[in-house]
Amino acid sequence: MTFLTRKNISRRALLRGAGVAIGLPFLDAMQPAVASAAPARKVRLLCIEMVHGSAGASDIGTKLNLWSPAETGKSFDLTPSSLRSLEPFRDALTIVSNTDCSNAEPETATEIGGDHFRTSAVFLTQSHPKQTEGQDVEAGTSLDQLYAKRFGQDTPIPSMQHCIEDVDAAGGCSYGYSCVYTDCISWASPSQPLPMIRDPRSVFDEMFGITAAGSGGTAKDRSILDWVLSSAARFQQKLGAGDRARFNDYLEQIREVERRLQAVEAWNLDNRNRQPGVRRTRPSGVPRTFAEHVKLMFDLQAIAFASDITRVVSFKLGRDNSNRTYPESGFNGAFHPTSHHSGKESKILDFAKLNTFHVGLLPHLLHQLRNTPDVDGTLLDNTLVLYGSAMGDSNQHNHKRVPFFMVGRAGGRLKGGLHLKAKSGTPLANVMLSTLHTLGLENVKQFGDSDGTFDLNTVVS
Amino acid sequence: MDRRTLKEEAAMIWIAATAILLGAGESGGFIRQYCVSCHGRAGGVTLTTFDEEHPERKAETAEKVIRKIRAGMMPPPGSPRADRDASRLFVERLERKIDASASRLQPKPQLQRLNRAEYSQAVRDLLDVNLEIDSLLPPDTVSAGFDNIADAQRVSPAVIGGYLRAAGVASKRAASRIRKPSPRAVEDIARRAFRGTATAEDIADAVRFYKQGGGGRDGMELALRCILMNPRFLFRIELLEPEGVASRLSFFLWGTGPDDTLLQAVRRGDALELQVRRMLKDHRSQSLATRFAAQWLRLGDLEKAAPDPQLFPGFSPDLAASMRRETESFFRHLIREDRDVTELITADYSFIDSKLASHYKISGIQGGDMRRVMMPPERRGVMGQGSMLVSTSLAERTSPVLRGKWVLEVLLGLTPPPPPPNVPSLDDRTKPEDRFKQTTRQRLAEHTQNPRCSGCHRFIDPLGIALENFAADGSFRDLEHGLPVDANGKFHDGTPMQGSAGVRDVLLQYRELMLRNFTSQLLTYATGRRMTYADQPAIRAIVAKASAEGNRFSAYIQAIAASPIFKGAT
Repeated sequence: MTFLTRKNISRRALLRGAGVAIGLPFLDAMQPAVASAAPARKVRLLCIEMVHGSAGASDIGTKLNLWSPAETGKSFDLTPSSLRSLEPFRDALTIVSNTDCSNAEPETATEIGGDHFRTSAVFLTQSHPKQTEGQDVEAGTSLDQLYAKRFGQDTPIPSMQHCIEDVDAAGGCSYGYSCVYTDCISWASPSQPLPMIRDPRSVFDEMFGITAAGSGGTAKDRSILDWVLSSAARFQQKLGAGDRARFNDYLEQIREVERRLQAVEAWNLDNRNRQPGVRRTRPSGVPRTFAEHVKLMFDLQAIAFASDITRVVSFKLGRDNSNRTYPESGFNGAFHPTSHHSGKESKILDFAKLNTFHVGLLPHLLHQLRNTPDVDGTLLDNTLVLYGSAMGDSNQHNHKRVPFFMVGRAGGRLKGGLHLKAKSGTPLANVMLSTLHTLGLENVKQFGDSDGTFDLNTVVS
Repeated sequence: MDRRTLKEEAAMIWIAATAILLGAGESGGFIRQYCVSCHGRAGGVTLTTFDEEHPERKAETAEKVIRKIRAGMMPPPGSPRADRDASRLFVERLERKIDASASRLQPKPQLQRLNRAEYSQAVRDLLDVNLEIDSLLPPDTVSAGFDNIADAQRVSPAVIGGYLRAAGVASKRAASRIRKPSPRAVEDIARRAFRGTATAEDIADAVRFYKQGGGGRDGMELALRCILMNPRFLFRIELLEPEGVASRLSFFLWGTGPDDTLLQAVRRGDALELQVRRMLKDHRSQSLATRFAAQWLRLGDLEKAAPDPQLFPGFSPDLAASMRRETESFFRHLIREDRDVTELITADYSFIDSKLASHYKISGIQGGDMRRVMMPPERRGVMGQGSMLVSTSLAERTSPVLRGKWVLEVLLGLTPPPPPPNVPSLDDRTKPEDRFKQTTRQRLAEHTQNPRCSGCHRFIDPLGIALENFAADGSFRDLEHGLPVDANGKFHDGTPMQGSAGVRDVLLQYRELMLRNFTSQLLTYATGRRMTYADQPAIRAIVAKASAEGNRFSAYIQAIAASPIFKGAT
């Protein structure tokens, strides 16, 4: 096993850095018993969405290489780019530039101007959200969910959805669009958006199935869920057709939770998943600053990946129209107004500071992944982190030249260390379709508005 | 069509939509005279076949017509328009015709699951346990400004996992405190938990879990988990039977389930009136302030407000919290003292603590309790309260646009469209070195000069400009960057507005619209569904009834409770 020879940072050190102490599995425990014959490189997928596009998508920003580097191929220069903090990880970095998210554009007159209220739903689905405020919301099944359906079932939690910003009272969603398009990026089906969790305590609890009862709590929960399912008929009697459908949906989710609890319980009980003397510490709440909050979520995600509690996380860093400020970026302007830079160079450079600050938080996670040994290498080798937005130049509310990159080698299937510039007009959906293939979903033929595949390992000159 | 052209067109869409009001109906009259020259058949709402003698045939369109004419927005300022009385008579005629033929069929109540706030309050009432609910359940999806809209509620494993954990925490804490655990105690709690809908089976099952858990505290804990995960607790099943009405009324007025008195009253078939009166007097009705009003008036946005500490050193998160409490206390007062709801904009008093007192420059207030005081003449109603003034400001300056939009949307129920793309923000249009050489109002001048802007901003900006005597931190000012503040202007109908008093007078002139919007907001919250054009006849009936009783707060609640729209009756 090669990983034993790698720089073996102690798991405790990893967790001390994370501010969260839990027992990580001994690494051999992560090999499923049945898989002894096959090399089990299990690929973890983290999909990060940031709103408002990038400064680099504007004309001046493109010229100044504020997002995508001037050079394609291997020897790209990140110095002017908002991605410069990823330099230490350039070997694992795949930048794909010059693609569009046309499904975020308006299709009818009433959709014009509503970009901020539908764009988030487009990023991972590459589908055009239906303009409605009712329960007939519709986008597409998201990339992370396609992967979770296929490979997430091997872990206690098939997928998790995390976010940073809280819902807001004014301007968060309008223009005839349901708030779920602004709130959620993961869609289990075209009609089923998944709520996202903001509080690190909830993330921790979901990961470890902690209940107030402590050990054995999950067994109690399961007996209650069994009872809800077995006595369900009694509650349905008086419901009309619509409510009955909604109630059935509820029961369906209960079955899924029951399955998860069973798996979390087995995971918890497995001695190999505990290191004696290491205590799990629940976070104390939502940190005050953006950076602390993001980092704490990264810490939890790193633990979830390292311990194979889940392999799929989607993470929403921002909210459309948000006026949040990021003083740590060195620029004080509010996010949304700053993104409307009116094409002026000085303003574009200000906006780029915010982009740089956001991307600059990633190394906190990437270091942890790279310092954690995993099958045939490090956790970073077996992870795919994908980062982007379905908005391009937010000043114009367009969806062209959208920001997008990936870090990690996806179990060795991605070479990394490449900047790939797509032919103008290429849908980002093509890149995502090939990403799905890379992740082992070779049978997917179409994703969103894809019109072909995109080679993620070869520079086409 | 080229997309950018389309987008530019969108800049005018609001004007177009408002403009395309009435088409060439057969009967001509008002519509032909004042509307058709613009509202022929170009995009937006097409009215070519609209018949003003039969507005009920196109009620959805007719309601837009009514709203825009009542708001004085149509015909647009500057176009020939009927005098105020003629316009009023015209829309009243449309309303009468629609109301006379309105269907009495109401949508059935939809299954609502307890949201964060309802769940934690219900658990507090049932078990006397305070939960940190934000750490247990994912955020509720907001629709139409409220967190309890049935069709926006989704379930996912994260939601169910949250309920399970919450039930675990609450059961454990409660079981440790129950003095004499017994099957009887379980039965008692179950009965209360299920809001009058408990069946013998539900209770027997809870008791079975008690025994299965070995009785005592452990058994109690398991039984409580069973009760808290029972769909009769987690869902509000509010069908037409009397218990459903009790539940709906109770969640509306108290934010939690009904008590025995209410359940018994509805079972006897008593009129709801007495119950409503009793419930409004009960302290639990404060949820109308902390949940209904807080969401309607967008108090949550205060948490995101961050006035620049260098420019506004007196501002702090504590002060923001006091501002929230000011507005909540004020609203609670309207409920408790059963005030005329137009005091929302006219009240010459408010509720402040020492922090706010020094911020507002009012002397003689000490301590952290909210105390009722007379306010200086410039602070009247919610537009004089820090919560509104701060949550609509940017870090470095006020935003007359956001304030005007707040007044239009929140108080009058009129929603302007988002700005078109490609519009530089005000701060980008000013050289940094000039930023402090002009007042915010002076920098806004382009909105009136550029026709691309003025189409919408002539409706929005004047309301915000009239509030310019309040700085971004909500304090009063006569000067901005050493220059005198000019808070005079004209409402879009031409009425002169001088400062915040001018805003108040204009709103009073449009009070009918304001009261309808207030009613619509209450109904949205009460029924858990968004109001549509089809609900307008019922809304008008409620306002008519309550206005006849001096617009007292309780008159609105009574009229709503008695309305078929509330019960979902057929």
